[in-house]
Amino acid sequence: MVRNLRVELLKLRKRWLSWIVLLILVSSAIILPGMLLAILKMGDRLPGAQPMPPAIAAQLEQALLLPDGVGFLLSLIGGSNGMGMLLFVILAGVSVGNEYTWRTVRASLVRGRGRWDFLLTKLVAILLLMGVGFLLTMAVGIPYLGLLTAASRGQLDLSFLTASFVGEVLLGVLRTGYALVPYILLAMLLAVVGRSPWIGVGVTLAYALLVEGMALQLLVLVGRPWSQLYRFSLGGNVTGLMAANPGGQALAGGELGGMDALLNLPSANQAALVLALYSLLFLAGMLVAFQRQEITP
Amino acid sequence: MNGVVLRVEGLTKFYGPVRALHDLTLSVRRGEVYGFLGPNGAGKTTTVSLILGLIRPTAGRIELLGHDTRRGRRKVLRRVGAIVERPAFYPHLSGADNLRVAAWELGGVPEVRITQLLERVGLADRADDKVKGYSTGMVQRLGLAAALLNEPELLFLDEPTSGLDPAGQAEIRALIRELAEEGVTVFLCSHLLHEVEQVCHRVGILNKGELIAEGAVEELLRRKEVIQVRVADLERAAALLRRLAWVQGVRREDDRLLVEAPIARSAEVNAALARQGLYASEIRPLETTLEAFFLQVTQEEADNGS
Repeated sequence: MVRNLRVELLKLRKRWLSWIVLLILVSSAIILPGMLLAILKMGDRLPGAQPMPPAIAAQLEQALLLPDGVGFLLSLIGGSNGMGMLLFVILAGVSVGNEYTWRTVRASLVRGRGRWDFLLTKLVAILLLMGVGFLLTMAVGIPYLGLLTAASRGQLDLSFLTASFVGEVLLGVLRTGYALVPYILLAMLLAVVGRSPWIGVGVTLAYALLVEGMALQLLVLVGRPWSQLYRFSLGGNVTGLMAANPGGQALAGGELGGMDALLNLPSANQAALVLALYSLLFLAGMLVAFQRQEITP
Repeated sequence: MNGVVLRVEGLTKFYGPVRALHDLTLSVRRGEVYGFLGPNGAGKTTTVSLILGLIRPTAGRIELLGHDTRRGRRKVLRRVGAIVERPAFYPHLSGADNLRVAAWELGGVPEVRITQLLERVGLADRADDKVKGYSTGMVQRLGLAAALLNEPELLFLDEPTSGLDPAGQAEIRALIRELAEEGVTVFLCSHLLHEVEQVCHRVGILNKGELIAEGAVEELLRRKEVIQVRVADLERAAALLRRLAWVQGVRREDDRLLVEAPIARSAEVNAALARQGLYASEIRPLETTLEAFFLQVTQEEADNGS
């Protein structure tokens, strides 16, 4: 397993896509908060802009600056339609699907590599890269938010920087990574079943962005029982889990949460359990499908 | 050459209603180069895929290096090298990195073996270039290097000279002969009959999923001994020769008769014709190549089928 994990890490390390994913993730932690804060500061000076109620503007600013800004960073890298989900679904789907298009899956199996081992080591390698990406993003993003906070408020009060805050941030990173696992597994499962990177990536993103991101949320307006569907979806539970992150409540359930506030989201514990069930289901589906699959020319 | 390294019994494979392989039985002995011949779509790659566990048989049994492949196939595969269909590599990795991936997957392959093999297949100076920039021939050579990493006891090669220029093809054939001399058993799938004739000890001919002939190359060629006869009255001569018990067949080709009979009986052919006043201007054994044999048996199969 360790030997084959080395194989998967080499494949990822030598791939441009992995570096592009990390670059986009880290740069978005710099570009987006800066851009949003600039728009907020310029306010109604922007051509055609409506004046924003001061209370909302203050709340938005607080969500972008430290310490609440950590929640913004976490929702940026994770979340059911965050940048991290998009990037790691692409990486997972492409990593698995390309083994079929390049026919390298056949070469690996012929060398006596186990089928489950083949997918599990790939999954672990992708999760490790995701962990590195998230930690790197936080390591760059938090000091940068500190600079923005100092620039915006004229000072930076670091009294929030306690051991428990650092612990909360690390727990938030873990929670965010955990929330993305089912999406990664879904992309891998579909890439295995479809023997193609595009099926893995395309169908997963279509589901996450169109079905969960739009259709299920719009059903809330129809009323019960349809409005409850989102609660059971991946996205509903990811949002429920992410609400437990530092500053997450303001984004997921507060006034800034928009539609999410109407959705009666599950609690973090309940969401974690549902996401574990989804992950197990996709993992089992992927392993069984690959075990039974005939690797034809 | 002793001991059987590959034994296939009653191997059958259906893809839905389509029969790809029917009741294939064959065995390959240690140290021999076994040529597996057949036209495109005959079932050669299906057979290799079944042996290597890429697909599941509908029926039949496979014994690889003395192990029933239904149990512990992965362990046995570590002692086997293979190129199935075409060599497959990660295009974004260099040739050396691709071999490194293969070596790590196999386990127990020293780094120095990668360098040695890159030199052996003539890719040492391109080792650090990405595979996406390699020519077909270079990919084929790298495939051979990957298949030899674990010093396999049994090597499956599917069209190993495909994409190579004549000089490259000759090098690969020489390499196969070298490997055989080193004691490696080679299972060579090919449709290039002259290639098989040059390097193989025994051949099996597969057509439409069935093994239609198998044996040592010389033995197969002897099976189809042909005497060429030129005579003025071809029709009468053919009718006369067909009546001889030891003549298996007579066919007319241009201005000559091709008589399927033991070469040793050429004088009796001449005598039989002369007794009826038919004087042959030429009687000589026709050299049968594996290609001629192959075309003949596959044609016979097609005729029988229709």
